Amino acid sequence: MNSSPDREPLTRGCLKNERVFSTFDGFAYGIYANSIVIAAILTYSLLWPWPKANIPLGIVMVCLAFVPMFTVYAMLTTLMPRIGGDYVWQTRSIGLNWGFILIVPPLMIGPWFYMASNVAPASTLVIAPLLISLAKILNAPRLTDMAIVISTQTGSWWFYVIYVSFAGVVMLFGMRFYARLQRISFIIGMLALASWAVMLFLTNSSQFQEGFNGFMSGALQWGHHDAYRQIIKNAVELGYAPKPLSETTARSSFLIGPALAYTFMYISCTSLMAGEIQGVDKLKNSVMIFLGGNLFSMVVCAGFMWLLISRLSNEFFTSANFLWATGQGRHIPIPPTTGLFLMALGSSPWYWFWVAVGLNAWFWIWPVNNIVTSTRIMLAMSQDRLLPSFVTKLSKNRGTPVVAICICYACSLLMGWLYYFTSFSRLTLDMPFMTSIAFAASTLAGTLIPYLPKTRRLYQKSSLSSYTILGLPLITVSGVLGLIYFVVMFVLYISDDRYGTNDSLSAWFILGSLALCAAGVLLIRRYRKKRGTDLSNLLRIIPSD
Amino acid sequence: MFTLLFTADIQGSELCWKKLLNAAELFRADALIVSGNLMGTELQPIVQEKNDVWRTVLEDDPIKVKGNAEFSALEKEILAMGRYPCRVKPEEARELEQSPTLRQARLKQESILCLRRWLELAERRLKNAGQRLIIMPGDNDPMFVDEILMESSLVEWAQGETIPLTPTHKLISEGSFYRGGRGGSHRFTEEELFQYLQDQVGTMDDVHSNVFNFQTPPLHPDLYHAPRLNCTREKDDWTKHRDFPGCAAVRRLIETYQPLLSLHGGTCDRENKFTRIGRTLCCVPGSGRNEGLLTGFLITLEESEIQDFQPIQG
Repeated sequence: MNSSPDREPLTRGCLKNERVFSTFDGFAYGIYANSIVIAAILTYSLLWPWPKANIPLGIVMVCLAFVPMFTVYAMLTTLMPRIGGDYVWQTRSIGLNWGFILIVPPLMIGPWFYMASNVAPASTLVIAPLLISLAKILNAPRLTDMAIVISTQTGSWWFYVIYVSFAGVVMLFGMRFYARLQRISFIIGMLALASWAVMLFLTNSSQFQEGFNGFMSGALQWGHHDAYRQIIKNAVELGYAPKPLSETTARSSFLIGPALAYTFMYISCTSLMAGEIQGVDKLKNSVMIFLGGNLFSMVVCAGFMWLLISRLSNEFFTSANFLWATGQGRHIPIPPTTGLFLMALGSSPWYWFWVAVGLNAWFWIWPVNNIVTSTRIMLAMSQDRLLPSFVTKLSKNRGTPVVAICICYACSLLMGWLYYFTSFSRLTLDMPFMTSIAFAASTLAGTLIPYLPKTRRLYQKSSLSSYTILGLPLITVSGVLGLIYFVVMFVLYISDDRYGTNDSLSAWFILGSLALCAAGVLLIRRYRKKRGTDLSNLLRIIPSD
Repeated sequence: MFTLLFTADIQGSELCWKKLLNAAELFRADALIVSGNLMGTELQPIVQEKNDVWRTVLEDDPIKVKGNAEFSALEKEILAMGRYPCRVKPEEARELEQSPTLRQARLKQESILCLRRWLELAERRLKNAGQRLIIMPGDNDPMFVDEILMESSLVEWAQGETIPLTPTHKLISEGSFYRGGRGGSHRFTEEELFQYLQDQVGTMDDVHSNVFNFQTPPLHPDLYHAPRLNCTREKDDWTKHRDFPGCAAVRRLIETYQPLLSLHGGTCDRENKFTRIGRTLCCVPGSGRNEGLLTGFLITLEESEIQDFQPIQG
């Protein structure tokens, strides 16, 4: 046998795919996908309908409830570390049709909508504070005017266009650049979070009230140095019944889980770029990304919220969000978000600037991952011939999927226009419901993988087969537990008005999307069959005897 | 319409070979093209401890089997992985371990037996159905493989040959990038390779409707993401170059002649990859051998175009 080193064939050596994301980058990506600051702030503001809920406890409960799902995700990522993660897992186990139907609406098209819903609040939440604090530091009132303009509907739309263009450029520069930007943002963001936690730790309730009253009067000319008490009083007068932390209940804390899922289930999106992360073929690295990320999110968010609410009081926090959400307290000049409360802890514009910098560090790289999600699904589908092959075109220099990025850019702009200027934004709360259906389907895929003829051998050959509980595959046990929680979530989404997902518009949207995709996949298969390609062949079980 | 099923880098996996033969029937392919790196490279001694107790070490795991049924299952597993099982007594195992020459000789013996078994199976399955089997070994395949393949009445020997697929399509194959073919000592430079391939392609009429079958893929980012390879690059240099791999000479050839289709192997990536260079569709199947996956492409040719194509992962 000819095997001397200088006769090595040109392509020998079993060189692996180049994966530009390190395991840590994958971990940070998951944290950003969760968006433990910005999306979390928005999510917490939706929890006022559960006045008896203990938000920190609710965060712990939902993160623990997601442990089985993330266990499945970690194992699937190790088993099949492919670009397009969920799409690949679902098509390879529950079938091409179902994989298409359950993945396309939430994970290919959904991110175009998410781009709008993620960015829309940013102009007031993140950019305006930055501009206002810079205006004070630089004594430039025009920056304050810009903050006001950017908070209007038109100003917000133009900020959206700028942001989507930024996201497109970042993606075109490639994932190595993305990883670098993400690392820098993560470091700044964590420093900011730590400093905010220290500020809160060193503040007591009365100091917060004093600071808030002073801030609202001085910076926003509202409240006559009594904004804190006035907010709670207004809410009570309008029929709201806020509760102190001591009167919150475990039941209500559990019930906010499906709402908190709007933040805490999105580490799953990391799976879509599993083919680009180093080391995920080893289970410990996948565990670090999914379970480690979940634990990190839980500790950081629950800890931070406990600090915040213990200083603000639960009554104040929920009352402020009640007034803002119900439209009855519109005379509060800006949304009562965590950013506002943090800024109220200090009077120096430099401090406000630092708060704004921290918020920006948690914002700018976050919605970019919508383009990552959507493009990776497109690439995987194009490889399977469900989409035209030109979608997989990569740029010469950086290997980025130029065509797929351009499609996402155009569709995000279109979806954004619908979001800003029509009633499309009503669907904001339905998107996480749709996305949780996709994640549940992947969890189901993982549950079945040790048993399905198509995937059994792959599973048995892998190291995952050695992980069992009472003789059953760990992935299956985790999958069953994960699916139980998803069923609970779906029942609550459908039956409880407070989640905003059980009206007829929601039903039409979700069922309509699934039906459209069902029609779509059948049409695509029919088209291919006419051209001589039976897409069933892609994943057909080929006998080996 | 002419349907071909293309796969590459079977690397001795008997499971993949059997799947390939079944796939031909399942997908009603007119021809199977098997490109490069057909044979496995490792011997797997299974040592007899007692009468019917055998042991071996497979991927660092010690395995013990008892009885014929367990032994057969183990043999099947080893063959599926692309290794060649051989029954040995403890003294023989020690000799094999100590003597590379003996090991090479035994490897040759077992791989010949395996290859003959594969060809018999192929003849039984494909001959009656009128399906063609076109094989081009790769640089990693030992020279004795050529004789055995050429002896077969079913196999169409592709290395360095131009084979008519249909009245309008011809397949030109080249699996070796060493001067004088496999067994040569001088590796081509990019320019030398381009000239060498051009000399072969230049003899064809109407290259536009023909099919290239070269083991090394062309230089292109879509085809696989790994350190850059070059015809003259030493193995150690590969880790230093993280731009696009593949052969520039092959890329130039495709750009110059723009055949209908270009088939390549030589990747360790599990995923099938494809792209277009101009009008030419370039296909590089993955290698799912370790998971028992047959990876490849099903391509339907019309007179002057590719009607459709599809990656397969069975």
